[in-house]
Amino acid sequence: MSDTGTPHDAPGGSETPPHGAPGRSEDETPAISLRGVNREFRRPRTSLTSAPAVVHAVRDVTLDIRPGERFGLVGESGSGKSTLLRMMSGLDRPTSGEIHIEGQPIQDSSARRLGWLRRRLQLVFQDPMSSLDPRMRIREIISEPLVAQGIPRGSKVDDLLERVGLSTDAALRFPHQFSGGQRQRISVARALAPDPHILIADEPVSALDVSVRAQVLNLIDEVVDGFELTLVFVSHDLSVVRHVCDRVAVMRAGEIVEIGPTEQLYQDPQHPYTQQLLASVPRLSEALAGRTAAELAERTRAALAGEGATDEAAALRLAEEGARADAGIDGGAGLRAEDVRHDRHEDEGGTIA
Amino acid sequence: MSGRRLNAPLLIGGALVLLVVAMALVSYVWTPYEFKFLPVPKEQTPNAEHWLGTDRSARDVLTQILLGARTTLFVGVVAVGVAAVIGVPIGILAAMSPGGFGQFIMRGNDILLAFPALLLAIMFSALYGGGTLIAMIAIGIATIPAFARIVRSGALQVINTEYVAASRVAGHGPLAIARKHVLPNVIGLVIVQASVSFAIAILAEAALSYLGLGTPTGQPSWGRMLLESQNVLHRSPHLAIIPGAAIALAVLGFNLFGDGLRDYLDPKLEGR
Repeated sequence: MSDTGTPHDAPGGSETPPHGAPGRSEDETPAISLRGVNREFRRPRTSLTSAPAVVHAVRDVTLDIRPGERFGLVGESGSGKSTLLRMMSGLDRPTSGEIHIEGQPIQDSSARRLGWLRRRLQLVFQDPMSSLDPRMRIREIISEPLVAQGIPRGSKVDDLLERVGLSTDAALRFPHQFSGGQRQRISVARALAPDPHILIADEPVSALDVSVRAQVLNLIDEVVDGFELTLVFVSHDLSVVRHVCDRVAVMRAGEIVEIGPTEQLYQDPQHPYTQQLLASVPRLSEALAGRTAAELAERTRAALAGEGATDEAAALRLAEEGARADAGIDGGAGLRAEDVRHDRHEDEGGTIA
Repeated sequence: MSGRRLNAPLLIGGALVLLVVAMALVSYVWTPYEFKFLPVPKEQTPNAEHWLGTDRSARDVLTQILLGARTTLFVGVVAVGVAAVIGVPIGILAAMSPGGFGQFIMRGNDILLAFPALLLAIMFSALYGGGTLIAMIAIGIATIPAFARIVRSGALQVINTEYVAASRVAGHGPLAIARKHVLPNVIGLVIVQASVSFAIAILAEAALSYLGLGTPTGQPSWGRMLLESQNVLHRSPHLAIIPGAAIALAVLGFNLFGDGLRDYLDPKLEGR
């Protein structure tokens, strides 16, 4: 976890995939390895005479993600991070370049021949409303990878539900009976079903209420630790990535512009774009100089108990406003509650610097 | 789902559909008279003996209406059955095929869509001899594009959802995805389309029978009754009005039912 990865270096290392016996050994076969990956999309032709427009979604990305690493991918929408992630998970194929998962190439394989990949690599999606089939019961949803891969189901669904903090009677209900946060828990349970080695999370908390983000992030944190997973975490939200990841790559217009250990990148961003991104994140610390997370939590509880707030999110907003007023900072840029709530480098009582 | 509300079109349409079904069922156990020439005066107006009167061959009109309901349902089931059984897989296939092939299917679909259903039915009748079944298979074939289109658009929405991506990551192939995710999520559209197409098929049968190409003489059909009433329209208008009203109500019923069902099944309207 506290692994001080060096900023990315393109290793000219040997590419001998251990076919057949991949295992999770500590050797340096990367969990995910990308070599010069490009992806172009051809826009539909709009005119008979001119050539169709080509969108270069991912440009020449070379990247290694070590087993057990928590890797973050940051970029604004349209930066190509989702495309990259789809290619890593075999949902899309690169126009050129090579992708190896645990040493095995996947870029040329048809979906049919990627069966083995499905046991190694699973996804958690962004939208909790559309990532679960509304017509399926939770039991069927979670056991889908098991059924697809012919793994006996046994009591696995119940175990997984408990693991992600849901009661076992959830199994017989339908997705619309759950909140966004609970749905993401179900998504995580489904991803864990085939005992994968690699978990890819595509903006798993972006669609959630601020008040439940922390819970889902903590869950992902826990399962990555508990199952010793390699995590690839995609987000446009820098503070969330900081909370979760050891190493971060910043993408812009299909290219990785900067890559490095999380703290280093946050403290000392090299690329102008990274600096710009970081500058655009409003700093809660300004408003809360000298205050503690516990204090904010206390305010939240007070607001919740009082008349002002009807739910957690509203209470949080009130608490933030209060803190801001005390610190003499007027409204404007919204404070990022995650800066407090998600920062796992600080204890609850720790001072926010 | 929890917030669903029954709406007026659904209830009224449902009642009319049930009425047609009830008439067809009743005709199996009871009709006022036999369907044949009776030794009674012709062209009677509705009266105590013959509730809806008699036609110009002195057959009881109510008997014909009840028996005709069978024909009406039969044509609907055949036409919609043919259209759905062929159209739904075509729609799903077109949505799930990559690039060119799906487009190719839909262009073929467009060509078929350009054919008027009645014209196709008349062609079929000319080629294979008349009869209700032949005519309705033709109507069914002409209705395939309607199903294929609506299913394709629904299926396209489904296959772009994250749960289908999740299913692919889980290891399911296209067939399993079509069966487990696409079909269950477009079946509502199919049911709605079916009830609307049912109404169209009823109308088509009536029109074909009126033209003398559908249900043959000696077989009760509402369209046929219209045809036979035409020469006596000036002195016995009820012989046209009664089957006309039956057709209108059945078509209205299935249309309202389809509209109501669409609203009922639409999750976006849930809880309104």
